[in-house]
Amino acid sequence: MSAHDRIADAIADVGADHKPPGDWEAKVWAQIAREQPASRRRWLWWLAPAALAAVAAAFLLWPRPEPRPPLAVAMEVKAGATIKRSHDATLGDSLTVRGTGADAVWIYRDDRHITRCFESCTVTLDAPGRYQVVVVRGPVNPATGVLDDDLAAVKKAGGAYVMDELEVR
Amino acid sequence: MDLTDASAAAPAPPPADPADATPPPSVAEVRAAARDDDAELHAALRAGDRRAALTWLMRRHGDPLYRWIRAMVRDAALADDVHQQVFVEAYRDLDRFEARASSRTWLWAIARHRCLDALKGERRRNAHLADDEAGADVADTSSPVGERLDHGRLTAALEDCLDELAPAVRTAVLLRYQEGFSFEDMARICREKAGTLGTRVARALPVLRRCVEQRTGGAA
Repeated sequence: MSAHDRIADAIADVGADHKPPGDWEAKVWAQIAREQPASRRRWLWWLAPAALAAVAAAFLLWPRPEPRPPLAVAMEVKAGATIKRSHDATLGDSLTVRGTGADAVWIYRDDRHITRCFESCTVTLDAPGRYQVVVVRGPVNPATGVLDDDLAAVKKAGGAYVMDELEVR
Repeated sequence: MDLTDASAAAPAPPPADPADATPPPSVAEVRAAARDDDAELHAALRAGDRRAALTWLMRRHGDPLYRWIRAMVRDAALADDVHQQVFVEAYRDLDRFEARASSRTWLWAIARHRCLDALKGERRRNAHLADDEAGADVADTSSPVGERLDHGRLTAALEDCLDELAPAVRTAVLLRYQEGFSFEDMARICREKAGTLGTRVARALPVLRRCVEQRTGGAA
């Protein structure tokens, strides 16, 4: 065996009597236990931007109801199958009312309520008089009585309305 | 122990069998082979039992790793800290271990980093007997390190002489001769070429021999 081989073999025994302290394994576990909460907190720091990004994405992508169209009323008078262009109607004609952006359509004759519907109503003009057509939006109670009282109730409840009129002879 | 060439005094050996050309394993290599079975560790990891995995690592490698770290840093308190830190780090990185070839290679790679960090922090030593690329005498002449140097005195002198090697050289020498790592495994641990490490180790041996001679008065 050469001198170098003997040195090499002697190196294998260097520090042979050195042993770790008896409680070293317990110290390792204790250190791991100390580091684990910190490591969880570090994850929270990573999670914070991710959570913010998720909230932002939800805000941008969340389906929002489309804005309601402006409140409007459209009336169509028919004599038989013929559509009349004016708001002058005669007995026996039919009136179709369509409300845009409305929660309800109310129809009155001479300020007295005669019928109601949600979006579109058709009535036969079987009595002469002045017909009032009202489209309403908002948290309002169904119309039941006199035109002025019903409109006041709509305003009081914070709702909105649009009205049109039609003369029937 | 007689560090001169023993073959000069021994009877002539029988003719060498060509099939027997590979040198016998060193003491360190024999010890290392006994610690290279990671089956239990893999079983614990497959079962997701990280505590069992670390416990196995500590029982299997705790003592030899401590000895290696102690020889690297030469300070008991520092060795204690580094040793514990290696296993804490191993626990943290257990998920990354599975693809590795051997738990020894993996652990010693962590330990090497921690030791070099610790040594950088300490910077207690200024003089080095050998530098990484120093052109030391590679030849193993028959010049006696000690005619009758006993093993205990030799290892004691070696401990001091290893301390005077540059950290990178000490790392390579201890990996090779204290722990019996192959140069391929050393390359994985040190992230250097096996050939470079081989040269480094070969150059360190004559340096160590001269150092031992100086410390023991040439012969014991």
